[in-house]
Amino acid sequence: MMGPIRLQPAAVAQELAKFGEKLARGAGSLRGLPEVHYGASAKEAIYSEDKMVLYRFVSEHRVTEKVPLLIAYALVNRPYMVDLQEDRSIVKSLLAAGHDVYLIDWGYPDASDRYLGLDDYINGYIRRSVNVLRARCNVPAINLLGICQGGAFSICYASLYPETVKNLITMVTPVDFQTPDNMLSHWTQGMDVDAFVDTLGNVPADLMNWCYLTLKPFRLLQQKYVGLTDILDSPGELENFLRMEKWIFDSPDQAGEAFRQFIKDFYQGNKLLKGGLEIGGKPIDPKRIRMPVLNIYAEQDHLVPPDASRALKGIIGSRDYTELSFKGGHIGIYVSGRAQREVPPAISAWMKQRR
Amino acid sequence: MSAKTKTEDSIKDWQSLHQQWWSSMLDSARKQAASAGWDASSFKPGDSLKGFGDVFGKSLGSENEATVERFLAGSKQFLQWVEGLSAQVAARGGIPGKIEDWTALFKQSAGPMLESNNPFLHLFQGLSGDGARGLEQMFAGLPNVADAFKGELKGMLNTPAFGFMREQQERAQQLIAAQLEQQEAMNAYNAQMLRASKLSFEKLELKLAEREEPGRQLDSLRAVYDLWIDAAEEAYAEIALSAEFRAAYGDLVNKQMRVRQMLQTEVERQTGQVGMPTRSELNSVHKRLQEMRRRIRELEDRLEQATPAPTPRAAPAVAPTSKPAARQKPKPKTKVAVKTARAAPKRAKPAAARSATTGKAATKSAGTGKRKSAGSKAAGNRRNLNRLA
Repeated sequence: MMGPIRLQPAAVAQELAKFGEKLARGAGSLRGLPEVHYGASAKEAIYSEDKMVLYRFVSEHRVTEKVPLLIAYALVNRPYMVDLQEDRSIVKSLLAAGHDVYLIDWGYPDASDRYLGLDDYINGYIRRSVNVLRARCNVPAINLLGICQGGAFSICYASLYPETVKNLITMVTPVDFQTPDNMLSHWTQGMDVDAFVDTLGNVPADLMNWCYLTLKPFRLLQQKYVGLTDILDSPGELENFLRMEKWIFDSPDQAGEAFRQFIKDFYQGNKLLKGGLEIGGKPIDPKRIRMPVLNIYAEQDHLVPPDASRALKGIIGSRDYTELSFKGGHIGIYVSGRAQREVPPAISAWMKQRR
Repeated sequence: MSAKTKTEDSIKDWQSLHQQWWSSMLDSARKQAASAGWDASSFKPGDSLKGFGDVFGKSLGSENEATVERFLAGSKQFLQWVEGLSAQVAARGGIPGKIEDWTALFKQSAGPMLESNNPFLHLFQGLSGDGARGLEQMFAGLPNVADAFKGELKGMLNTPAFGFMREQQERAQQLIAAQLEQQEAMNAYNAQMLRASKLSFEKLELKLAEREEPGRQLDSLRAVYDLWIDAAEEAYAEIALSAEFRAAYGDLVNKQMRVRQMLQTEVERQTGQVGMPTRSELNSVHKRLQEMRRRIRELEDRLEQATPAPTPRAAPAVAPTSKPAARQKPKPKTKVAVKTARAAPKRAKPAAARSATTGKAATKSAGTGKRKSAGSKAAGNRRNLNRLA
């Protein structure tokens, strides 16, 4: 039987020398790089309220679809992930396919927003944004694309105001918050969220980031950066890496009350799945979702496991339910080459079939 | 060449490799430092990792700096791993052949498996920085008076308080007791991390066994490192999803919050006495502010529903865009408005459709380029929505 590791001193010496060279050369590459920017598509603010801004992406193509598409992103991290750069933009592909695309940017809550609750986000910001679009585009209902936590919000919204949603698309959206492989949920179960929010007020972004990184600590805190040495002498790839880093760590603090409610009702109570959820005193009944639903999930998603997303099928009243499985992770679904080829065309085709 | 000579050469190679590697890193660091105009004279043998940190960390944009910091921390830990492994191979006198020997070597290079020397904790502690901080790091700047109250001194916490300073003494005792509980919770959490560390070696052994098959051997340090990472992640995931970890994690968070809350209360007490505004007072203001926002929006919603639809006017305008105007093709607002008035939707509008009017609508008037007042902006938006009603 052969041993599992066959290291030759000379080969290892060469490997280490190359690693050292790459590190040294990388110093020059990093030093020469300007700060990275994001955003591939021009956009205009059409409505704002407090720190929330509703943007319309300005298309360079003819808008052929009458019904606007509103993207509701999560409160954690920034929504520019959907339009990160020229060759990594879901928005750009949708614009090219003739859609009229809008985005809610929640902004960065500060201490004065500590008491913003889910009622304010869903019955307030989302509802009024949808109504602005209905008025602006002269349509009774819009297409709503909710991503991650924004997807859970969109499900709540569509349950409360189904007549204003023509088609609902959810992307990497948790519905069953207590699947056995959901590490994040597992950790929250023993937390006294009241004490947590009462003490911290808004939840600091750095703490949220740390929590996400510790889901896969060796990969995300160490191996990823060791791998960076492989692209240190490639300015293009390095720029992409830095852009992703910027996005990952560009996180807003979480409004305390919204965080409290989300953890209690969604993670600890699992009420979106089990029932009993109320937003602003209004009961959420997902059976009222009878419009067509497209549910997109990522097969290697460590934040929102596939089973957590697939649970949507069992709770809604729609007979027109479609699932799209993506071979990738929670982040790759926005930015990988495969995602660019598969996800926006699938969304576009699905919506066009349901004009 | 005899087998003995080969082994001796191998040992010699590894020992010299261990030295050569750091010398080469040092040289590279010196060169880069010199090109960056930094004084490289402080570089000393064995300082090569620090040297790299200094070289990479200078002259970078502020946003990139945080990434560089994380990159250096990750690379440094990798290099420490290589150094430990290389030193163990050199000390052992050659490359192991059996899996058990490899596992033993990995364990030795990681050091004694104690709570105080745990690779998992090292990883967590070594990599906090801008953009990511755990609770432990968030607490780093706070006083920990419990350090002085260990062992027999703990009994003093139960001493009854009396006299003029009685309440203050009681609060101090409670705070110290809470900090001690927090430390115990931290120890329980660290014990879970230690479990993960130990399990990672078991996982590694299994993975190494898979690599004994012909054609699957690992022939580079990076490949060995990646296998080690796979084993560590698997072990961590298994522990992190256990009931014990969940309890330890929750308990740690809750105990830390209790300490923090007590400290905040104490700070409030002190600052309040000298007339400084306190966190509680601000919370009260913010709470009332939010209630007022909701109330105003509710009233505006009602107003919308009660207001008859006015005659069509210009549609709401748009704010400046994020890209040069030349690239933008805004919709013809006036046309849209007229069309909207003519072609009302067939379906009856729900009340919600008439009430989206509260925000700062647009900052620039369509067509004219003139800025509207906040009042007229909201009114314009409201009128536009009313047309649909």
